[in-house]
Order: sequence, then structure tokens, then C-alpha cells
Amino acid sequence: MKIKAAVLRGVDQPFEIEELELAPPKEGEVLVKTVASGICHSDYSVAHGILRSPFPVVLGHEGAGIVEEVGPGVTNVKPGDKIIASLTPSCGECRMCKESKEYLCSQMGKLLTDCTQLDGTTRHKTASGEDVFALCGVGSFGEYMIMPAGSAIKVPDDTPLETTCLIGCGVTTGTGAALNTANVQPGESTAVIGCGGVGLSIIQGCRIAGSPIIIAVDPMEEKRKLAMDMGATHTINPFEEDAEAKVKEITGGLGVHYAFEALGRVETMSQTWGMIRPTGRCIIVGVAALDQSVKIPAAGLLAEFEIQGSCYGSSSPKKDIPMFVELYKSGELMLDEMITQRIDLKEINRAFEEMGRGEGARSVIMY
Amino acid sequence: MKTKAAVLYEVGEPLVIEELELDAPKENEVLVKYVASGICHSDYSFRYGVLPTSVPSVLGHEGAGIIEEVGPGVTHLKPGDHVIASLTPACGKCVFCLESKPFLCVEMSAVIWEGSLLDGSKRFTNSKGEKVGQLVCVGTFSERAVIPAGMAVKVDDKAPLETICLIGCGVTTGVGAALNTVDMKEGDSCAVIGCGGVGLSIIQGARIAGAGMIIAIDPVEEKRELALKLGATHAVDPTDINIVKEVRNISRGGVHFAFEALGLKSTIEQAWSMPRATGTAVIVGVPSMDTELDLSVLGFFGEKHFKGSAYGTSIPSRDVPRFVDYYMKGELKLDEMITKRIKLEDINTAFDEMGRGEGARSVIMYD
Repeated sequence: MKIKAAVLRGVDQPFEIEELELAPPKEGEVLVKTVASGICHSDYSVAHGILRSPFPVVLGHEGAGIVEEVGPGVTNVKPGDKIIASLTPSCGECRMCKESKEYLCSQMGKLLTDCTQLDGTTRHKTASGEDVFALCGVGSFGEYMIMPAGSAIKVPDDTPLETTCLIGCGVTTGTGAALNTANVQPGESTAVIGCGGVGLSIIQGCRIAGSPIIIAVDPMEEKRKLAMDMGATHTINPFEEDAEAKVKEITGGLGVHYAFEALGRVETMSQTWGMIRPTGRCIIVGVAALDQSVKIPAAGLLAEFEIQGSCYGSSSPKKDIPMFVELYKSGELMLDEMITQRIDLKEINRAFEEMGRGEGARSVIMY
Repeated sequence: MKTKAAVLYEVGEPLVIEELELDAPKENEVLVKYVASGICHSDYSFRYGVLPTSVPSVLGHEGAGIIEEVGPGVTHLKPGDHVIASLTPACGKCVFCLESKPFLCVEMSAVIWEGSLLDGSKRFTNSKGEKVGQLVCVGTFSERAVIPAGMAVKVDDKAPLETICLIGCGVTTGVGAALNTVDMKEGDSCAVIGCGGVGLSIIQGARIAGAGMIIAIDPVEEKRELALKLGATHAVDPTDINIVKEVRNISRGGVHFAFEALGLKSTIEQAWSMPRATGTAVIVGVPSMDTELDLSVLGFFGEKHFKGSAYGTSIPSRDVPRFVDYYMKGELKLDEMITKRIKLEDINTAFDEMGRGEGARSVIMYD
């Protein structure tokens, strides 16, 4: 079938809106009509070479839609089902899936870096017959997506996909980091560096978990305000104040139980180490270039400081995505407020430029 | 009263064996006649200035003895009680004691580098009338010392003090790291870098926890042999090989827990590369306070953890008697760890041997 999609042909280049040929789903795959797709910071990272991908490629990995057709052997969804695309195919066969750690499924990294389906081939082609890759085996910057059946998570029919699409990546990554990775307990204090879509989701996770002190750190006033609306109790502008000292001051000199990094910069990752209390934990949610390292002073080790990564919110999508949808429906998880604009696919380059300037929390493409 | 002690007058210089005057215990203090004291690697670090201490000071912090006198207000001990000197006063009132983390007791951290007792004053005086401090409030390189009552943990009279003294520091630090700091499950795999007193204790803790694979790493053959005797399933000489690769090979992709028991930047960074996805690097060794560590961001993708372990995350009133029980039942082997018993006068020779990496533990025997 013919579909319209935003195609990226190289690092630091603009997207071209092109008509592509999309092959039908093969065994274990589903074809989904995209309803909406968020633009996530990782899309930006790929477009600017911080994360690698093959070209040409259809980016987009925060999509939701309606199943149009299923390939042979697919039993978890059927045409007409509403689904949110998850980032892990949850293969069920690898060591991590068998330990219920689907967020580290051995196939996930492959889909992210190879941008193919699980069998290693692509479904998109250009008019001239050239193979086109699809980020995470999803490619939500297109009118239709093909994905591994395990990535398609069925949600209730009354779920508004134009908003819950954010759960596909940013919200699960952030809210999951607070609820699953950190497992914040009522009464524990938190700090969050970076208040984009992921940071705001972390803040909401902390609020849902019952954290009484949630300190949001971001240089943009608009984002700090949004952070307060979503549950932050304090904000810090790191360009005007020493964020580490201020976090200590707010917490009576002790530091927070959990400090989250949601920017993907090694400098701010190091800062989290200066924000936690003894036995506190730094949770690294942002994604930095793979060849970098985080500098931390050894002194904190004597106070049992801890630092760890958080991958896709330590989530098991089949369990967590429907849970986040319920939290949205009950009003606990605020998603509409995170969407700063809804755009048409052809406005995608403008949305990426705004993201580069740190403006707004989330743009959503409507199909 | 007079007591013979080993005093550090200048960092880097040999200890001076001399007779000191010892004041009587004040409120909430006890007078202990030490029976034996281990020489721990931290004593070496204090002597050579890797860790800071005030001088002059009586070093030693791994002692066991018999209560001779109790000061006013002491109700849980009486003369004749057998005790192990623990490294925290466990005040029961500070924020960390209230969280059942007495290994971070604020009363301790206030004086730990000062060499004084908890009230800020000193009990030892030398022949020139100069006040002499005592390391970590216990100063076990002395026939007798006055220590905070909360640090003296009563133990079974039948347990041999000349051996269980090791529980005062190295054994609690190591066994506790395996049993308390991490939640090791039966069948989990681990690697232990450094097979001195602490490393061998970690190995024993891992054995007691039921670890399926324990990889001991040390360049000294006699220590590797001891490690195998005490529970290691593999022993590797890291000299001239890629030890990270070796550990990942043996453990089929990385260990659940990598313990570092040396406190060196290079081996701490190696420990970060040894765990499997979602595994933990546990830093037990104490690096010099100005060390800056470089953690590759790669580890965050697999949700690896990196954390310090302080005094085995122990609650001494619970763990010291528990470890004595393990010893009495034969599960915790301490006699095998003691490579030499010496007189106080031979202490400088023992330090020289430690500097060359020889032997696991020397124990000073008092008359």
C-alpha cells in the first residue's frame, strides 16, 4: 500500500514528506493505521547523530493507532483493536524476558539500532524501490506502521489515542522510572533534572507515588511552570542558582532520596550525585552518547550512594501501558497538559527546530 | 591507669610503641581491656594518609576484649562482659539510626576524622602531657581503651575473642556487603576483586547466601588459594589479562554482583563493567577521598547499579552476634583468615608486609 511518511536521509538534514510503498505484515507482524505520534527527544537524538541509525529512515516511536491487518500467527491483537506501540517487542524467549524484564528484551536494542523488523528486513520502500528503515521497528512518523505483534499493546476501545500515544515512550519511560525503577515510597523526596516530556512524566510518577518534596530543575520558565502544574513542589533555574546546593537547602541539608536525570547530558548526570542523601539513589533516565562517561567523586560511596540506569521505565508493557492508560482516565496522570501543540506531519521540521531550542514539552502529530 | 599503645605521630612514619596514661570512662563510656586486634587495611590507609586522621593518635579499629569498668549511665554492659568494638555508636536518635541505618550514625560522622570520643575530648595522654586521639573512637592498638558504650557489642563468652575480633571491622564489612548491602539470591553469580580480609569475607558471605558462582580475583597466589578454600568457585590472576572479559566469559555474560574490595580507581571502574544487565557493582574498598571515578554511560542502558557499601550495611547489635554464631557453627571461617599472630611491638613489620600485599590478616595478641 502507499503511505505518506516523513523520511530522513542523513544526520542534520530536514525530513522530506514522501510517498512510500509499505509491504503487508509478515508472520508475527501487525499493520497499524497511525492515529497520533508524539515527537520524542530520542527522535531528535537520531536526527542529529547522537544516536545512530541507518538511512533513509522513518523515525517516530511514540505512536498509537488502530490495527488494520495482522500477519500469520498473530493472536494478541485483531483488526479494529486500539493499540499503543511499545519500544520492546517482548520476545518472550530471551533471558531478560524470561526474568520479566521485557524492557531489556534482547531484540529491543536491535530494533532501535538496526531499524528493521525482527527478521532483519524492512517493509518500507521508496518509489524507486530503495529500502527505508523504521525506528524501533515502528516508524510512527508515517500514516501506517508495521511492527512486531509483541510491540502492539492493546488498550480499551474508549482510550483516546491522540493523547495516550505519549505512553508509548516518554510517559512510560518517565513515570515508570519513578514507580518501577526507583519505586518511590510515600514520604520520600525527589529531584528531577530536565522538564521535557520524560522529566514531567517522572514528576507525575513521583506525585502518584506520594513524594512530598519534588524539586524540578530546568532553565526554561515555561517548563518549570508546567512542572509545578504536574506536581513539583519546588523549582530551580540552574542558570541562576547552584542546583546541587539548592536541593540540599530545600531538604534541610540532607539531599533527596532520589535524583533523576532526564536530559542525557553527562554533566547533569554527575550533578545527581551531589543531590542525594546518604543511601540515596541517582536514576539516569536520559540517554547520552555511548562513548561518554560520567564523573563522580568517590566520597559518596562511604555514605552508600547509588547510581543506576533506567531503561524504558523498567516496564513490562503488557502490564504497565494499560495501567498508565487507567491512571490517565482517572485523572492522576495528566497528559493533555503535556501536549504543547498538535501538528500536521508536514510541520515536522518546525517542531524539531523548536525542540532544538528547548521549547515546549511535547508536540503530537495528528494523522 | 597506664596502657601500652602504638601511636601514629606523623603520617607515613612508623608507629611509636609507648606507655600512655588512660583516663577513666565518663558517662556512657566503657573501659575495655583488649584481648586481640586485627590489623585492617584502613589502618594502613590512615597511617599513609590515604584516609585523613588527626595525630597523635592510637590506630586500630578491629578489636575484641573484656569490659573492666563502665561509666555512669551504662546499663547494657557490666565488668567481665566479652565485647567486640563495633565502628558505630548507634546513638538511636539521629535520622539514620531512626531509619535502622546505624552504619551512618550522625554521632559517628561528627567525630570520625577527629580522633576524639563522642564528646570531642580525648582519654589518652602521652608522657609529655600531650593528648592522644584514638581512631574511630576505639583505638584498638592499645592494651586498654575507653570507648563509647554504644560501640561495645556484647558477645557469647564462649567465642574466642582472639579470633572473633576480626568481626569488628573486616568481616562485618565483607560478609555484610554480601548479606546486607545486596539482596543476593541462591544461585546468583558474583565476582570479588581483592582477596584480603574484606574480600575473603565477601566470598564467605556470598557462600553463606548460596551464590552459585564466586569468582575471586587477586594477583597473589596464596590469596587465591585461600579464596578457593573459603568458598570461591573460580580464582583468577588479573595480571596481564583482560579481567573484565574473563569474568564475563566465566559468568556467561556478566555477574549479578561485582564487589570491589581494594578501593582503587582502576578496579572500581572494572567492577562497573563486570555485572550483567540489571546487575550491581558494589564498592566496598575505600578509595582516597579525592578520587574521581569515570563511569561509562554504557552501563546505564542495561539498568546496572553502582553503589557503595559502608560497614557492610550492618546493624551491629544484630549482625555482630549473628556473625559470631556463623563462626561458632563453622560456616564463617575466621581462623583460616589469620595468617599471623604478633605482639604489639611487631606492628610496623606487619604494616610492611601489608604494603607488599602479603597475607590476609595479622592479629595483635595482648597479654
